[in-house]
Amino acid sequence: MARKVEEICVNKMKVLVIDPEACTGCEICELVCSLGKTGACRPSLSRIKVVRIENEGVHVPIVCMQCEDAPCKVACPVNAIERDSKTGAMIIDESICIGCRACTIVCPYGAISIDPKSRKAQTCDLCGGDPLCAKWCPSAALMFTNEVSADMLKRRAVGERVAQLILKSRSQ
Amino acid sequence: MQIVIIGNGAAGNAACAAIRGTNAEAKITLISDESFPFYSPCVFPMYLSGEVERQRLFLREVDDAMRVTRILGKKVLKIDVKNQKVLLEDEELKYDSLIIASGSKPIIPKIEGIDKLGVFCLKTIEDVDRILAYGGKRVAVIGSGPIGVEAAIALRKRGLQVSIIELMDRILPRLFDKKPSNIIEGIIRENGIKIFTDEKVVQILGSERVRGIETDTREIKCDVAIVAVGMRPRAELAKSAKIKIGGLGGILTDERMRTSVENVYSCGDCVESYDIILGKNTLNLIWPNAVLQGEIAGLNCLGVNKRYRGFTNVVCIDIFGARAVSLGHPVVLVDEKDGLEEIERAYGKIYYKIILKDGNIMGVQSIGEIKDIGVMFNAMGKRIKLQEIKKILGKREFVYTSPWLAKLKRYV
Repeated sequence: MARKVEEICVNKMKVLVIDPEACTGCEICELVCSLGKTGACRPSLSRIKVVRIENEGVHVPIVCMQCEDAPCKVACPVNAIERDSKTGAMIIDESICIGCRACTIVCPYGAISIDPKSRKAQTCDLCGGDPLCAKWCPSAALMFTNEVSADMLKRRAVGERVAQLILKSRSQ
Repeated sequence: MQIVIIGNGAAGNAACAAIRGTNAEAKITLISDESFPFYSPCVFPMYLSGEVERQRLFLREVDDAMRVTRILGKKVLKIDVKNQKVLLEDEELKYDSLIIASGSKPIIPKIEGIDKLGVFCLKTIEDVDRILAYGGKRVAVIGSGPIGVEAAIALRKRGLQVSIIELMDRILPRLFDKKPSNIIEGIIRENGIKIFTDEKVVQILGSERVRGIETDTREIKCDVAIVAVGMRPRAELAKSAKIKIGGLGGILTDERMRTSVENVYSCGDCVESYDIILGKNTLNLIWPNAVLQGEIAGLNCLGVNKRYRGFTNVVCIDIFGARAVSLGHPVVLVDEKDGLEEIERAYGKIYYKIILKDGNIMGVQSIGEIKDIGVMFNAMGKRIKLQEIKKILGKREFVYTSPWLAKLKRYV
């Protein structure tokens, strides 16, 4: 269900913001994520994944974006996915999940993975409101801020890029 | 505000949740001819195979928070659209908005002996209970759609002797093309299920109980026959109320899920829905589509303007541990074959195929590896061409503007 704008502002709900331009590809996020969730540093079990595009030297951290109209929730045939009212994170109830993978094949970010042991779906739950990945990210490619300032950050970044282009074209 | 919902399935319950999420006052009444609480037919294969207990079929009970009056086990006899009333056997209900989510029913082909003891179809929880109670050692599944294949695999996991009979030249004909279908067939055969394609069932043998199935080339001995040749929308009720029905047999709705009659909405399997890939109405009888439409129908009957943009086929089948995914449509279902292009790749136990038409992704079939395929599904729905994805991933600035496409790098 769509949350109202006022509600968000009152709750000051925080969101995880990703800035691939700042990502250096160190994969510390993968380490701390797996450490926090499983107690071992095993990047393969991490819920955040850094995708590397080697030719271009680009690194993109990909994690659940907690979609407003979440396709995973729609696709789940056993209603195991619900939004946490406090953190706004989509929570997969492991006791209900049947491991059918309907959620993984509709997730537009490919952010839902299957736990190799339990064969159940798992995704980012924002660590209950204090995500470790954002806490430990050394280059501020992952930030946990409230929605309004997240928008501002993005707007500013686009503005700066456009300004640079204008300056560049002037000097030519 | 009095809202009546016909049907206790995915669509009906999604509508309930959407209505209650926006409006605390509306009075919701849900009618179903089945006497069971809300259950998920998607769990049937796991229940048939014995992997989960019966309790897991039933979904989370949220009636207290939803405040829905459920009338279960009663049939709706008539919809009186003029007086806005729904007639049941012993009562009548007035409505301000009506949502028809009556779902679908199995097709029963006209085969001699189809009424014998031991012939089942697979749609409701009662069918599953009957199959499990009947016993029998040898099972023949007629039809190899996803329901037939999943049922066959589940019963095989139970240790029964299972065979599949299919009229077309391959199994899962509406989901996979010949080659991927053959790969799936190979995995199924390895696990001890017999598959007979290109065979037409002539009659079901046996005096009172099923003893075997005669096809045009052979005789297959079996104690149980499961008919899984497809589903059709249940639209009789709507038809008798003079609600417009489409050429495919489903109820016609606009993009706000309104039918041709005022204050009557429809959603789920009983509806003809727009397919974003083919660009025309199809019968898309899958769970996510029903939930999507149910939500939209629910919101629109409260006056919230939300539109259904269309959906497409998305199916994932567990083939003895290997996952087979079909997004969009196989080549046979694409009307115009000009400009079709197929990209195939196979390595180890992984196979995938992308069908392109004029650069647009029409379908993806993948076996073994399903990670990140959702990104493909999203790109498909947005009509992003494969070439464009390649271009985006080839330039650093473009990747920064749409970083989520990064996961598709192995497909381009």
